This record gives sequence, structure tokens and C-alpha cells, in this order.
Amino acid sequence: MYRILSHTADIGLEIAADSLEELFREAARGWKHLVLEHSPTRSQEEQSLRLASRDLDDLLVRWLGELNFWLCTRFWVLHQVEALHLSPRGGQWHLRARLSGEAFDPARHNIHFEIKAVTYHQLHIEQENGTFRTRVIFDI
Amino acid sequence: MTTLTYREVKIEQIDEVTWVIPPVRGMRVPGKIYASRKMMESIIKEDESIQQVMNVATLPGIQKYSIAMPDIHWGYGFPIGGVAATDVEDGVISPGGVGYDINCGVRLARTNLTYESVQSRLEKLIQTLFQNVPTGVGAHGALRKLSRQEIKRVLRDGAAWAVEYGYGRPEDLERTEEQGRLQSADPDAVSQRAIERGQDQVGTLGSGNHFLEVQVVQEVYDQAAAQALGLFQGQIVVMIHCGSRGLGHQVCEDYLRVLADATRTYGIVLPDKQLACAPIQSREGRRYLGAMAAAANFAWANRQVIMGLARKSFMDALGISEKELGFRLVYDVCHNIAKVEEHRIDGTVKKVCVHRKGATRAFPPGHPLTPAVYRAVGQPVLVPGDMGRYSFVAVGTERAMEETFGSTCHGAGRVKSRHQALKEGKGKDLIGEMRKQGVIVQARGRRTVAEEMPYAYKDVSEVVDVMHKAGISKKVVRLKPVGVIKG
Repeated sequence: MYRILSHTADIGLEIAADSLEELFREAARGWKHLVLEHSPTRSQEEQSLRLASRDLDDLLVRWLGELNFWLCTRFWVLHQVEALHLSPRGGQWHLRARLSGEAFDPARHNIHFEIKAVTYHQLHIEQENGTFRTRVIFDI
Repeated sequence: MTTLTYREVKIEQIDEVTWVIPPVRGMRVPGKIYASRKMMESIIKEDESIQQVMNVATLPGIQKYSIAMPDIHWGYGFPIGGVAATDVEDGVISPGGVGYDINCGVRLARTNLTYESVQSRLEKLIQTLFQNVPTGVGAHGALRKLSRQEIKRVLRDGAAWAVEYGYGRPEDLERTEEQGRLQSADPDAVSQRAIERGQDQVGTLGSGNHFLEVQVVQEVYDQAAAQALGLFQGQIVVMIHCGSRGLGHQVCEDYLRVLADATRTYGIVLPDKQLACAPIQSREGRRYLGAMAAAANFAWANRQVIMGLARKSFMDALGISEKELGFRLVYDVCHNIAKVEEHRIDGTVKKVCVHRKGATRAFPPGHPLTPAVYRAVGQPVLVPGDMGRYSFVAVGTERAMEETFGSTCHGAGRVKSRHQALKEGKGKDLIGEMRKQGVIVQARGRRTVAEEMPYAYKDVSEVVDVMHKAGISKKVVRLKPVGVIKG
């Protein structure tokens, strides 16, 4: 579950989920909603992704930064996250994901704003009564 | 004079537009904010930015004051509108003091044209500009996608790279801060990912508050200075506001991680982890400065290319020669940067690293870094406002050198969140409303127009007036937009 947060200059998400994996998936859904709103997307090709970081907060920044990079630099639009796996190994958190999507098509894909960066502001993944929560603020 | 209280700290008003925060809670120097009383009351009420001025004052090596301009608002780590100078020998450098959009800045070009002479063809002109200047996300650069090697040349040479490719004239460089190139740039300190983000973005405006505006000189405050800048009442000018695009954003992101580690390595204690920093003389500090300078050069090349595209659009749309158009750069300033400069502190000249985050350099007449052509009047300062009202040109002063490390304000600052602005614009013909105000707007997204409507911003004239009253930067002309291009 995610909720869009309004911030004076920027914009963000408040995310809650039953598992860490679901939290990362929800973050991706929220990001997609913000950037593409209701532009229709298709599953035409798959990409796989591996990321690692010393801590989970930073891994979430990297994860959303990666989706943003694929959109703004490689002109590839996410349809959905097909699979996502998180695991701690060797003092780091590792993320493996399979994404489906398609090439950016300006006729169908309306990008609302450019996210300059995923920030660390108010980003802190917490677990309370079995629910994982965090906020993410985007610099736009 | 009076005092105002912020979180139990007494902020003292020392003159009509200057406020001082005493050094408390780990602050190494006092804080100093330029604002009218009315502004100060709303700054205290609105957000956390005063706390951020106080946080910046705790940075190792900070000199004299942690300073904020009247357009101060909350930012990541440093407030936007913040200025801090740190000792080059034992001070720190912080990416939070520059921001994600490294060398976001403003460029102003003048023409020989008057508003009257182009008024009937304005529609066509704005259309042509909108076609030729890539805006918004997913826009390809006006140039072919550059190779990694070519991007490294951009990172090294800055605006000169664009001039070499025909997007300007050699004299444009003399009228650009740092001549459009920081020599300290280290392209090898820029990550592969940052370079990839920049490959297709040279000559792109971006989105959000970035713009290209066709403006008219509406009022002249200082005739002699206006003349020295080549500006006159009724003249058509072009203002470009953009930065280093994805390349600069990535450099910031990369080095926030590096400097977060460095903060721990060097045992620096900070009140906010977004102030992550490293000693300027450390390996990490030097690498960041080199990468940041390279991104700054990218931004200058970007604005230079966009200016070249604008010049061509004017010639095509109006069917006039380059000579008739007389497209000349007035000046190009950055408002997100950290630079090593010499400043007088307690009577001696010292090398300091001046962080300007949402602040503009404002060097005085006679300063060696003020371009020779403007040496009698001072360095031009460009302060953009919202797309409906006006923008300003000012010049720097000796007072700025004494008080603010040669810095002044940079813009209006939002007063409403994008979400609020969007809600307010719902169901309204915003482009029609702007047209009634005499502004033709071309934007990729209707949403951008709603978010950027004039009511979402503070009145920039109040900001410029505070700095004028403080004697930091002197108003020269006011510019009124007549055509706007946005992402």
C-alpha cells in the first residue's frame, strides 16, 4: 500500500507492506504512479536486475533510482515487477528482480515530471507489529 | 530593532532587512538571514529552514556566518538560499551545500529587437522555440547522442565545447561565470552511470521549474548599468533557466554515499546526516569537488547549446539575419555550486570554499572576476521569478564582498506545493489565463503549467528588494515574460 505525500517543493510516498519484498514492490508501484500516472504500459520484454547495498534504506534509494534511470536514460518503461527477492549476505543486502516493460513511446506514455533523485530525507524502513513502513521523498 | 523567537532562540534584527541568530547548540558561527520582518515571520512559521541555517553553522571550518537569502526555504541538508564559506585548509565540502542540480543557473541573452516589432509574430516565435528546444522527460538532446569520450570533453571544456561546435561566440565565454569552465573539473571522478545519463541530454531544458522565456525589458532602475549591460526599455531578451540534468543529479547521488562514509571516517559529528561532508583536503573531498566541477561544466555547455538553438529559432521564425537579430549573451550565473574563492576575513585574504545553494554570485565593480566589459558596474545577477509576473537583473556590490562572500538571492521560491497548485488549477483554462496576462505558454504537460502557475510562487520583487535595501545587489532592470517554454 502506498500514499502520495505532498511536500512544498517536492513529492513523496508513504509505503506500508507486510514484507520487505512487498515494500520494495509497492515503492515501485508508487513511483510508477507518480511518474506515469495512468499511462497504459505493456509487457513486451523483460529485464533482470541485481543491486546490493550495506543497508536497506540505501538499497531502496538504489532500487527506485534504477527504475528512474531505465526510464529517463534508457527510455524503457516499467510495466510491472514480475519477481523480487531480497537477501542479506556477506554484510550486505542483495536485491534480485525481474521486470517487464517496453520501450518508451511518447504517443502513449505521458511522463508527468522528471525525478532528479531519490533522496534519503525521512527515509527509514521500520517494522512495527509485522508491518514494514517508510517514506521516500523525490527531488523533482 | 526587535527580536523574534524560534525554538527558544532569540533572533535579533540588526537593521530593516538583516537578522542574526546567536551561536547556540554547537553552532561555530552565528547565522545571518536577509529578510523583511514580514518574511521573517513567515519563514519562522512555515518550515524548518531556520533550523537548517543553524545546522550549517556547525560545519567544521565555517567562516563568519551561516548565511541565508530572503528566498530561503527548506532543502536537503542546507536550506535553499543558503551560503556558507569553509576554510580550504581545515574546512569541509558538502554536496548538500550544492544540491542535486549542480550548476543549475540562469543565462540572459539580449537582442536588437523591440517588443513592438515582434508582437504580431510572437506566436510563431514561441512555437518555433518549442519545436527546437527539447523539453520534458524523454526528450532527446538537440545533438546526436554523444559518445562517452565526447561527454568527457564536455566535462572538461564546458561552454567552450559548445562554442567550438557553433552554438555561440567566443565572447560569450567572457560573459559567463568562470568563463563557463571550472578548471578543477575531473572527468575521471564522474561515474559511468552519470556519463550515460548525460549522453543524450546536452541541449535539453528538463522539466519542473526550468524554462526558456522570451521577455521584455519593462522597467529600467539604473540607466547607466542597463546601458553597460546592453539593455533598454521595450527590448526583447531571452532567459534560460536549467542545469546539469541527469548527469549532475547522478554525481550528487554518487557522492552523497561517498561523503556519508567519509563523515564517519573523519569522525565528523553532524546534526543532520544530509549534511554529509569531508575535509576539502581529503581524497573524498577533492574527488567530489572535481566531479562537481565537471558537472558544472556540463551545465554551462547545456545552456550554451540551448542559447544557440534559441538564436536559430529567432532567425527562422522571424526571417531575419544574425546581424539584425543581434543575439548576445548578457551573462550566465550559476546558483547551485561550491567554489574556491578568495575573500577577506578579519582583515586578511583567505581561500575559502563558498557553497551557494540557491544563491547567486554577486561580485562588485572592479573585481578581477567581474568581466572586463562590466568592470565599471559590477557582475550581472539574474534573478528569475514566476512565469507570469517578472524577473530581475541586478549587479553585485562591494557590500556583498564584505557581508555575504559576494553572494545574493536567486529566485522566488514556492509558496504552494505542486499538489496544492494542481488542485487549484483543476478545470481551469490556465494557458488561457496566462494569455490574458500577456504570456504565451507552451509546455509538454498541462500538469507542469498548473504546478508552475504564478500563484504557486512568492513575489520575487520582495526578494530582490530586500537585497537591494541591504546594499548587496542593486536592481538594474525588471523583465516581463511574454512567451514561456517548459517541460
